Amino acid sequence: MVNEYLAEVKANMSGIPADERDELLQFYEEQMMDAGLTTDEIVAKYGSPKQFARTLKVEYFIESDNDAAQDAPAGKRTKNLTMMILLIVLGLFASPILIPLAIVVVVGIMSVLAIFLMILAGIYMGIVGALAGGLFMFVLGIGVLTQAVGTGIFYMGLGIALTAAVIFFTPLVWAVTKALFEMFVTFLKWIGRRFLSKKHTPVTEG
Amino acid sequence: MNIQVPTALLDGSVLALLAKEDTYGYIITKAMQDLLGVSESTMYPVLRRLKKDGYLETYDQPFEGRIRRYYRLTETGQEHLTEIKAAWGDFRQAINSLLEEK
Repeated sequence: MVNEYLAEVKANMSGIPADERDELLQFYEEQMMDAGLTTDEIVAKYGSPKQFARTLKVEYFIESDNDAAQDAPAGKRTKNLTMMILLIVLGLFASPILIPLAIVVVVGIMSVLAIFLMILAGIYMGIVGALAGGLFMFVLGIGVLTQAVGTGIFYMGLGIALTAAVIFFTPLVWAVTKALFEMFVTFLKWIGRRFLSKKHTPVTEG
Repeated sequence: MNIQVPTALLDGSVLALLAKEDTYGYIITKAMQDLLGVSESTMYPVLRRLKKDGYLETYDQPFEGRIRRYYRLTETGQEHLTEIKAAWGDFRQAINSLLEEK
């Protein structure tokens, strides 16, 4: 029976807010009933209740991240994003595509993420270093000022220039970081859609 | 080959369908599937977003012991449809002038 199938889907949809979950189930219940599908046809079209629940969850988190990217508190988005990445990775291992391929894709995702984090760490250490160096030189310049005015002013100037450079470039670096991260997220969503959603017709965004 | 339907045109198609009369999910997804090859899993977020943006609203009606969720075009939705129609008119003209140039 359709109802039993849907009850099982519902039981596997933890992590999605109850109202969103019920709205999804209402929608697909109507699709199944109005199309007059038998349970076998439903399984053929949507997969087992567990698979279907997973597809719905991935789609929910992709969709809610699309909303969040436009307007949402950063904290909430991070939580959803973590959930989305986790679901996509888990989903890949459980998906009908071959396990070796899943491993390749997951390792790929992890590598991209690791490289991304390392670049990020490098950039930010560079910023902190430059800032500290700038301050140090400025203080050094003040110290030397009484003995050698020229040298003192030179170091003070250098310190100010370095600090100014940091202030100038930090927003730029931040913007580039954010853009790179968005690209990574878009890539993940594409993976999720490509490999996890059954019978999904892609739609161009925007 | 298939041409991917841009979001604005999906929105417009749904709104135009509802401009004729209120209807329920399956009729909408069926029409979009048959005419544009768009799946129901694509349509769910479209409908959800159109509702969130106030372009359409829903109400439930009992049918054979279950409920059917009907979609209704709002006044804002009607205005939005007019905008999309105008944009589509310009776009179609532009593409026609390019594709049908001999």
